[in-house]
Amino acid sequence: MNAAQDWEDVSLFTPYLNDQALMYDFAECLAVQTFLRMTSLPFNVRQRPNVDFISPDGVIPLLKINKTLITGFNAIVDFVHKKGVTLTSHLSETQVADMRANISMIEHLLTTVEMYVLWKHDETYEKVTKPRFGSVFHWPLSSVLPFLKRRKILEELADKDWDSKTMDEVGEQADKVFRALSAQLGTQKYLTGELPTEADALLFGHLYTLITVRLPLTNITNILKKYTNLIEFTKRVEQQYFKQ
Amino acid sequence: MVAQSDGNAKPVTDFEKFVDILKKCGQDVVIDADLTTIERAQLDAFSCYLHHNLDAILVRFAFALPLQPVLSGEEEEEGGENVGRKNDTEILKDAFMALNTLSTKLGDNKFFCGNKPTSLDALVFGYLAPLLRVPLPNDRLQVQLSACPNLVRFVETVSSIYLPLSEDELKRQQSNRKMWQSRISKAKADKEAAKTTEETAEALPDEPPMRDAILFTIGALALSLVFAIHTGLIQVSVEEEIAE
Repeated sequence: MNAAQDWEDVSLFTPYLNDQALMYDFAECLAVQTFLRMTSLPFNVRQRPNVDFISPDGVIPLLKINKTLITGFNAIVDFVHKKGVTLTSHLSETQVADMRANISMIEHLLTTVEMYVLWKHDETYEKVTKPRFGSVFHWPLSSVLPFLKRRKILEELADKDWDSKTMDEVGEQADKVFRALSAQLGTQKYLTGELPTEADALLFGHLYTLITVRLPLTNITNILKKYTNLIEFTKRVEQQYFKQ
Repeated sequence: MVAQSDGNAKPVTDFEKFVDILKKCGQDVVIDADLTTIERAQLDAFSCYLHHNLDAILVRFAFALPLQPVLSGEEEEEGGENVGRKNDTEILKDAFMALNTLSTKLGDNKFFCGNKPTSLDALVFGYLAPLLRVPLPNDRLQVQLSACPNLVRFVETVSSIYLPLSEDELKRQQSNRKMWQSRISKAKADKEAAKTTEETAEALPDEPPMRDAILFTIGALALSLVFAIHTGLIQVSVEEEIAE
């Protein structure tokens, strides 16, 4: 990673956000966009059907600066940090530790919940995941690739001991995440007070996705709706960074 | 961990569930009762953070070389699968960062939430004590942990308050230490030996198996034939014999 390069000709490669990207990918792409907007760094968004093949390690989204490729939310945040642009300079070390824990919770627990819903729940898989994932391929790849991917993701879920969980237990996990974040947000503008951090960007990405996504199963969204300050937070960030 | 909650109930095998049950059983057990909602939220976030950053390393190193005789092969395989997606460097990096974050979060406090122990303290102790005490072939993590004096002090405090050792146990520990030392040096020697044999093995490249070559040839021939027929290079005409 070469952090000494100038910030020019920067493109963010994402899947087709409206037709192709799955819930958690959409959330990550949105989070990176929000983060870059928070730092006021200029960038272009380019939507490509094969980003997961462009990306060296299969992680999306992909940020390209001249010839450097950086993949994934955390790596992009680190890279921007190495450039001397940071959203956490006003925080104490303990607050940064708290923020890291929050990011980890959103990134692992909430993403796993989303994966579970998309790939494990049969109706959602047939009606949403499979058509979206296969949308950029021709037959027969459009049914073979989702099948292979599903097998892989289910294995991953089994590794985490999530394959035996019921939908209610998964809902409880989601509720735990929302409850924790809602409590920390309280009546503040952002998670750590008046100024946004990368944790806010990531939180916004996931919440916005969960609120706007249309799935056959609405239990996760319904759980989220109980936490009004999180909904307000999402609206506020959208207003500030995406409606200008 | 397995705990029997009521005799007739099914075993509880998850730290979080275990804590939940203890809270609900309404006896004299008071855990996390006088925490504010924000503290409780941070507690959830940190426990998630720990799981994701330190599980891998414990599995990796617990199932790695010198402990092998202690654990059956089956368990080792299972453990290996769980962390298969990350390589050693990533696991170590994650773990280093987690230790630093924990050290910052603890600061000069006696426990993570001030002066009172919480379930988070128990969880952190559960992760750190083995890292500190169990002799491992790869001592980089132990070195890193020793570099955070407040974490070491934390482990000492918790074990002296809640898990004091009797004199007998102390003696046994002393005698065991020698055994472990010899085991470690033996494991290191084995590793070296394995490395050298591996190097010599690499020097002799395997001959490609004959079967693969034959299958490949047949496949290629069949494909070219289909292509030739399809494009009209070879024409096949079917002459039907007219039955009398």
